Amino acid sequence: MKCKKVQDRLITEYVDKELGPEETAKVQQHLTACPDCLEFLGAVQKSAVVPFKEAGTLEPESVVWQRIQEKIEAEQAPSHGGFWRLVDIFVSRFPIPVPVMRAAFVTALILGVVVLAKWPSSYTDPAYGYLSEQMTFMSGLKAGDTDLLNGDFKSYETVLEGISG
Amino acid sequence: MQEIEREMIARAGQGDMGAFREIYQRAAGYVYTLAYRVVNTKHDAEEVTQDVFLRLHKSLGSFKFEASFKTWLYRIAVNTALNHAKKRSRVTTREVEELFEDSATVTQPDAAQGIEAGETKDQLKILLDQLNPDQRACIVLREIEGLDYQGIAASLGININTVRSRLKRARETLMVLGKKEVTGHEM
Repeated sequence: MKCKKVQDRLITEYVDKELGPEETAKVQQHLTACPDCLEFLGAVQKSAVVPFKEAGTLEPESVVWQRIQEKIEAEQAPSHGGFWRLVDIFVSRFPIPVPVMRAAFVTALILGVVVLAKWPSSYTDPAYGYLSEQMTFMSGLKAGDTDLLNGDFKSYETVLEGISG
Repeated sequence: MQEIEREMIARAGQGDMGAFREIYQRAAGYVYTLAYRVVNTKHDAEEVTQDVFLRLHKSLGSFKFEASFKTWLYRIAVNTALNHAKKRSRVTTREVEELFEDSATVTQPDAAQGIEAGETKDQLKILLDQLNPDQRACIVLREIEGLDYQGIAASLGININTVRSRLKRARETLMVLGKKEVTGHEM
């Protein structure tokens, strides 16, 4: 075995005990007869192996766990306001996955708003306005409000007679 | 790292914070040490530890128990630390140069004394600073965590030949530093 090849093994598999028994024996045999490779092995151990052997385990400060816990809690807490909380309470009553129920709830809500927006809040037809006015007038007359009258009509009855001709 | 029972992992995966905290207590030292050795500052190591456990919390529910939990955690920890270290290393050339000048100034006398006196803590930081993040991760997993080549390859998602060549280059760099120190000491 040549020194270059031995040193290639020494700096990797040999110090890491990854060589098979046969290869290990060959390297060890070479080392007994080669002071340069033995010196190389000493340098590898001293500079690149031994300094790490006494490295202990470090422990993080307790604040690290506190931060982790806070982040998890923040992620788990509902990030939305009262409306979504109400939605969640409502949808949680159904045995359907919450996202599906949420989507259904919001769709229904939008549809409802759209339908209501299109629905007439007061009847704007002119005939409806006229009839409504006349009904108010006649009911006022029936209740005895004669101030509503002018001209020849003196009472509710005379107005009825006038209408029926 | 202490063993973590399957049942505890399952409970944590179902949202049991008590079980998750127990996992943290058993594994935090390992994750933090690994992170510290790869990113090389306390602040960054804390950030990495935090990120690792948040990722763990999110993905515990989908852990299939097909792989070893330890290897899975090694993988998350080392990759999070590596990404962090690489992100950090994307600083301006000037900053890198300054960093090297600083570490070189501190290294020369202290390194030799440190080895002689067995003062490994600061010495480790100086040595690891000489390596790039990929080499650092390999050295840390090998020398500090005691993983074999197969374990390092699995943790980093690389093949064994890459593990070998990274370890070789890392050690060559450390030996050059060692020689400089010896020369400096002799002068």
